[in-house]
Amino acid sequence: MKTRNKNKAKTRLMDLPIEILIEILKRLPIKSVCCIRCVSKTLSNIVYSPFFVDLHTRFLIPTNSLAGAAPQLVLRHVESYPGSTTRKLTALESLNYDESEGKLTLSEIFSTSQREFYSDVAFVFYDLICFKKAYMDGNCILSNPLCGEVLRVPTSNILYTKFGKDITFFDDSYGMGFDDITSTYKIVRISRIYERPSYSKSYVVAQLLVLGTSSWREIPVHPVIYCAIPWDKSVCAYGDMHWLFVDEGEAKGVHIVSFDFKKEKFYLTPNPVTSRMPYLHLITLGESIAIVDTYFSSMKVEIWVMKNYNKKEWKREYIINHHMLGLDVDFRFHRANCGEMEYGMYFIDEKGENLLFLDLRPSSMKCVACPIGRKKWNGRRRILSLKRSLISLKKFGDLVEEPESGGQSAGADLGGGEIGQLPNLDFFFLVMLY
Amino acid sequence: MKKISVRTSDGQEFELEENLAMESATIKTSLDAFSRDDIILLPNVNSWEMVKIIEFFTKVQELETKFGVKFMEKKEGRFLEAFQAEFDKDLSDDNLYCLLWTVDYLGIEVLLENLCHLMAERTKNKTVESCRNLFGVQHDYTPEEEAEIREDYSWAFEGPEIEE
Repeated sequence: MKTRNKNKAKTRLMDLPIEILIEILKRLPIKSVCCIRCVSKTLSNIVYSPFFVDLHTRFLIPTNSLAGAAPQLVLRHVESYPGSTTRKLTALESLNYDESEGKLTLSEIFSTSQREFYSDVAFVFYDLICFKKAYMDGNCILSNPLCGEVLRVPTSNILYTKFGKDITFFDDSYGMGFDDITSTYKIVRISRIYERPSYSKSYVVAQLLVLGTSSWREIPVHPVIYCAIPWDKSVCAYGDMHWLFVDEGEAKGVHIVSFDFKKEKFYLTPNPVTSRMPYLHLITLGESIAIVDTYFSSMKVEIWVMKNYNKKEWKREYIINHHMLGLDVDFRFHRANCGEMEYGMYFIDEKGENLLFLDLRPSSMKCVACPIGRKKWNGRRRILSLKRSLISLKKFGDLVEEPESGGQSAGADLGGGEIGQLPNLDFFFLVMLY
Repeated sequence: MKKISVRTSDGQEFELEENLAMESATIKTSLDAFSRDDIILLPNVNSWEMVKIIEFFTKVQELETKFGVKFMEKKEGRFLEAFQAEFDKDLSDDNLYCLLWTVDYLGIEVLLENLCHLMAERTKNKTVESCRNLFGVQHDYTPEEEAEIREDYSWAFEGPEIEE
């Protein structure tokens, strides 16, 4: 036990027993942890150690405290490559909105042109984006665009083993979560497949992978999923993942299907809203999740926030009438995409030309429209909302590396297992067919 | 309810209810070893620290009665938001630091967690230089090394910072 100078020494946190020092540090938000790295080499070593990162994540994810930080918005462009039917130009820009100046700044994270590879965004887990292949043969990759890491997720043989090779994937949804009991990250996958050539019957299979291992295993599917289709990407909160599923049949009911990564089970979260798709959006908001109802003929936007996560209690927190927003652009909420940003939400219209920032703070509720403008890239645009974390993809396996030949057109050969780390973000090989 | 007597380093005596005294692992060990009628000597604890600790216990009991939850058993961190704001007001960094040592010595887990939380809050928006004072460390980066870190984490250094 360290001796203590009882006669009132100045605060010297470094003299505290290491266990207490860590108890203090683990409660710091990511931003502060990164600043601490600058304070001294000893402190940097402490907070950079995998042991601390683990402790920090174990503390912050289940309490959803990581969620409290301001998200980093990232704008994704996809457009056709001139003269090619298979190539696409993709770019990712970080988007920062300066409220005081009303200015939007975009700065390129990367841009690349590639033959079709990975398409849609499967989910965003803090600052990790998961992309899945356009033609859904069950491959996905995990990336951290803000620090240039890309990890290839091990493929699964389960479906081929179960059904043979003659299958077509109709749907493939993914989710990622953190199990704070075993301190592991897991990926869940829900696939709907049809057997060729008849296409008469569809099957739904769910699988789970513990990141860092290489084999998937099958897990039971929730009954609702058999007759419903996932809508848009999943959303994470408290280490769990949540999706909106729409009934296939006439009823078109909307369900919130959730996955508990500790129990490794699906469950249903009550849905407070009666509107139909496509007007509903599931997003993270502050320290919880929210449903945004943009049902257009009501001329308002309603936001339901989950006030009590343990009891799954919703509250209709905001009712925003369109005309109250004082917008001089005719913004079509019902065709917009939305997500979380600092102090509120953003909406991006269908064409990706206009951005709406909605500040939801009670003292300063307002709405600002901001044209994105025709810059370098003119393709389709979508915004992703990332929350910084200390998660490093390196601990889960070998990262994908830029090939020797380099250059934007060479691209990554994702055939065998490539190793290393991306030194240069220009080489971010994914192409998104929106 | 039985009362336990403790004597702090400066000779002052305090009385604690038995169940609250038992929250301290150190006191509990002493009680198990010796008779409950004896005064427990706490040479590492100052009287002002004891006052603070008793204040904590009193407040917790108030909140438990008000909210009807056994705080000590549940360890509801959020529970004490209101309390923390109060507790935080008249505690200087140095005092908080001393209290951390004392509470660690006494082994009062719940209070320790809250104090760590308070200290973390204070560390949050401080400038790097202020943190150096708070942690009591020497500046051991070369200007180039420091510049590199600031560059790598430029996003973390945005926003308002509090000077010491």
